[in-house]
Amino acid sequence: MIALDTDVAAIYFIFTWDKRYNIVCKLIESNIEKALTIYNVLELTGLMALAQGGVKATELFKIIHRRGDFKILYWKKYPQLQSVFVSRILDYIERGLSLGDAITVWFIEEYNIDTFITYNKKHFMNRVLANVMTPEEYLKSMGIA
Amino acid sequence: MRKGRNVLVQVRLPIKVVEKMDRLIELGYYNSRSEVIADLIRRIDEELFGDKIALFIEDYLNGRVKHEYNLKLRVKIDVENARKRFKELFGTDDVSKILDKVRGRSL
Repeated sequence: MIALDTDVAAIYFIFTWDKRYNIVCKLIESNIEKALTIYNVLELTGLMALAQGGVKATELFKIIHRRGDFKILYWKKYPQLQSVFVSRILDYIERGLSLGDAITVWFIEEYNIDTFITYNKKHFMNRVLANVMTPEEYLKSMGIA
Repeated sequence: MRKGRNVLVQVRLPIKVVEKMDRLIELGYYNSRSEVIADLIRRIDEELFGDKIALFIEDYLNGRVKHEYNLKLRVKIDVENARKRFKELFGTDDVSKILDKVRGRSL
């Protein structure tokens, strides 16, 4: 399974004026099984709140959950203690990741995601146990683009 | 059932769960196993049932959300307004630059 970073999902759901929109559509509207971590969904929801307000943001949150071609990844084992939660995040931050990137990587590795699709490869390369590709590279590797 | 009345409820729990309950009692968080269970139920009632989004998420996690296999399903947005808002807030409508700021990669 592949997982999408917020930037890829944001181009599809909000930033439709982005020059990469058509290639992102090709990826997202394909039959490839796609995952989004709940952190990325919340980040995307926040972007929608900034752009179009809270009602649209909540609508987007629910629509993403209802779309059958998306799997939303929640923590498999959510730490009940705040101390453990913070400690786990620090484990990932120590790899040289920002807070948001660290939480994303936590999910990617917890679910053994094969490939993480992002336009911010430089922030994830050699910091996550998964292939890191742009949508263009992934589609090309699949013989789609 | 009258309010304030206590009722005996027999439950069967895995030994590990009971050991954890006893550990919480040893540590002084609760006085009895009944208190542990009562507090858990109270927390679920407060945190979950008073929150519609939380209920929706629980439904999703338990496979009760009806999925739609419509690849075009999305929220309708006012593109011009969205671009204007991003430019006002971030000085750009470029998603990569905005996310760099949101994730604290650049200031």
